[in-house]
Formats: sequence, structure tokens, C-alpha cells
Amino acid sequence: MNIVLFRIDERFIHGQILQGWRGLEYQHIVVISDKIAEDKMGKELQLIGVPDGVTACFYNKKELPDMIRDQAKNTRRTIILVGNVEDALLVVQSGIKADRLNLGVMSRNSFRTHTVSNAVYVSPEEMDVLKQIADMGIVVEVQGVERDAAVRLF
Amino acid sequence: MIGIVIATHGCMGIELLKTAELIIGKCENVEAVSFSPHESGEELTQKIKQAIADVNDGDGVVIFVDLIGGNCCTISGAFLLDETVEVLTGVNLPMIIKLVNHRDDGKAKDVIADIQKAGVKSIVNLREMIK
Repeated sequence: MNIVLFRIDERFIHGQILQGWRGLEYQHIVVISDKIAEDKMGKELQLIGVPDGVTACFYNKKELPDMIRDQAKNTRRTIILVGNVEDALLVVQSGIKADRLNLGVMSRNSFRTHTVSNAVYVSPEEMDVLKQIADMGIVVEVQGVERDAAVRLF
Repeated sequence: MIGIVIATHGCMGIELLKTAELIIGKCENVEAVSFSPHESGEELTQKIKQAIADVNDGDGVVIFVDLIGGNCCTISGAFLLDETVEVLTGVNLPMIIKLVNHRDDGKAKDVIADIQKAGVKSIVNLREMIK
């Protein structure tokens, strides 16, 4: 797999992905989420605005081994999107090779006591999961879009 | 009267509504919903749901959103399960003014095609127009 961005973004495919990361010249988007993969209309809505020439596919967590098999020989420049830290950990544990994990959108709620950026809020439990990912040799950094500076968390 | 919701990233919708009112006067049954980086999709869903309820008097609602494929678009799209709701992307001022002026001409689904046309027709290359 040719991964150009591995990102936690609870909005999955949205304006920032469509417009703010075009410089990566990505050709393929893989979304891993039980919520989206099992929602037919949700998937259709996610595909609105995906530019011509860019493909997208959706997998639920159980299908991770299928995803790895399907995508193994795919050389297209690929963005992997997950919706939360637990799913990011599953992707890393499944053997996907990524150098860095981008934190894109994790919206504010009462459990997320750490304010990391204006779009990224993290609970103590989620911080532990991110540390676990960092301990596997992956740089964890916050960056909304390409024009923002990347800020390393771990 | 067809209800109007303008759902955008940041305060664009609020300002569009203010600007429309400068040109055509006070607009009833219009709600602007803003979406901030820290908010969740669930929060935006609730805000749009409330706005639809506030402006729908039975003739349906047109939701204008800013960016095709953006989160306001995706989340508004889920409301299409309600047959009385229509969604137009790429909101601009002429679309809003056109709808405000034709909002008593039927249900949302009756006018949506004309509103879309008004939006597209309003975008011209002025140099080509004056040749």
C-alpha cells in the first residue's frame, strides 16, 4: 500500500480532505469505520465531492484483513481515514505500515479534557492509546490541513 | 412559505443572511447554522434538525450548504430522507434572494430546480459579458 496520509478524522471524507490535502495528489481513500461502512446513505453522502479520478472504499473493523488483502498490491497514493484512536490502533496492529498518524478532527466533549488544537480534543484514555501507537514507532502529530504546521504530540 | 436553512462552515451563513436582508429587507423563516472546528457531527445534526423544525410551516425546507462534499453537505444530506427537505450546495447570494422572492410559489420540491438555475446563472465572466 502506498499510504500518503493516515488520519483520525471523525468526519471522514469532508472539505478538509477534499480541498485541504489535494497537494498530496492522492488517488484513493480507504475509510475504516463500522458506523459508515454499515450505512448505505452515509456512504453515498461521503462520496459526494470526491474528485474525478479519486476512488474511495469503505470497510468495517471486521473487514480489516480483507482490506489488507484487497489493498496489498494497490500502488495508488492512498489516504486511510479512521474515526477514533481505537480504530487507529487496530489498523496499526493489523500490520499496516505507516510512519505517522495524523490527528485531524476529534471534536470536543466532556471526557476530552486535553485541548490539543481547535479541532482535536483528547481524553486521558485516548491519550494512553495514542502513546501506545507512538511506542510502536509511529509519529503522532496534529495537522488540520497541509497549510497548517504539523505539531508533534508524540 | 418555504423554510430556509443556511448551513455553513464558520459564520458565512449568518453573514449571507445579513447581506441578503440588506438587499431585500427582513427575511422571515430563515435560519443560519454555523459549524465550528470543535463541534461534532452530532452537534451539527442537532442544530440543523432544530433549524428545520423552526422554519418548516408545512411547505418544506430548502437547506443551502457551502461546500459540496463538506461536512455541512454530508450532514444536511441525511435529512433528504424527509421528502419535504431539499439541499442545494454552493450557496450564493442570488440563490437565497431568488428563493426568498419565490417562497410562496409552492413546496420546496416545486421551486428547487429554479433556485439551482438562479445560482448557476448568477456566475458569469464579466469581461465576456461586456464584449
